[in-house]
Amino acid sequence: MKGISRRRTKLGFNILRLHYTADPDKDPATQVGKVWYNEARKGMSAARWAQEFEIDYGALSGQLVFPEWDDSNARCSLS
Amino acid sequence: MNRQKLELHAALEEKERRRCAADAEYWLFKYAKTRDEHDPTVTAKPFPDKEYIRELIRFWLRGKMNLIEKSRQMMCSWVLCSLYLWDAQFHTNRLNFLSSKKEEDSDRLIQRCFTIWGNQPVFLRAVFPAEYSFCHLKFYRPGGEIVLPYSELWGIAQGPDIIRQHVGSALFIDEGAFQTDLESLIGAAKPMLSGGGRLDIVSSASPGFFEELAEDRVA
Repeated sequence: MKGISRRRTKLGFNILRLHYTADPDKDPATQVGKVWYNEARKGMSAARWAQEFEIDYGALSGQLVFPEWDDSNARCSLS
Repeated sequence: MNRQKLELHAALEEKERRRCAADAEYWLFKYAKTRDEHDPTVTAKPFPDKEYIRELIRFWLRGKMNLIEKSRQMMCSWVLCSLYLWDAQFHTNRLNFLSSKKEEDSDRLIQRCFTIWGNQPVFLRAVFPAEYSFCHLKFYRPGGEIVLPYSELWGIAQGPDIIRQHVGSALFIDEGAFQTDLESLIGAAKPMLSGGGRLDIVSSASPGFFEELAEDRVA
């Protein structure tokens, strides 16, 4: 089934991975899902989206706390 | 209603109760109703009949040591609260723990269970009376002389202390990737697991022990 996968670990945990595309109302491949997707992504950085919705554990590591911060503003020039 | 009709009605209700007790999936889609904070027009909202929710229920029924890694907004916490309620309500001697980072958040999980209980029809509530208090939902036999609950849901904060003191029947850890002492909590649940209990950890992604478990990096 789209958006769902299962596996078992050495410790004996049954793992279910549940991605938003398992829900047709969230799957961008459907008309209604496309609307949800565009709305949900608004105002969210790519890294945060990747962690919270794409189940990407390392997406936020190494990112700025405020990614929208303009890097050039943080520089101090000496004259 | 004459006596014959009343008896028939009671028999049908009993038949339905037995079906609910035997079939969590049937009960959840027919009688479990949530509350949607984003939709003020509906007081009690049934679960949408979506295949992924059915898959989630069947996955839960099949295994007793489960980890669910998920995108946000998949209704997983509502489904797990429903299944923990179903387990406690329809079975005896259940002590099911629901754990969140803070005690207040665990209480919110218990409140969800109480909402689902309260949204059931009278013929179910009357036979399985429940009493809510902060972090607790206790189930009693109707009109019985035994005053102790036959089952209980208990909301606990993160950390192993309570689980270490009480051997429960099940432990649901919500947003486990965000709990700072997840490893200790799981360690404390080992006696429960070896006694036939169950463990369900649900979370969206965040680096840490949850990730290590999910990625099979824990020996």
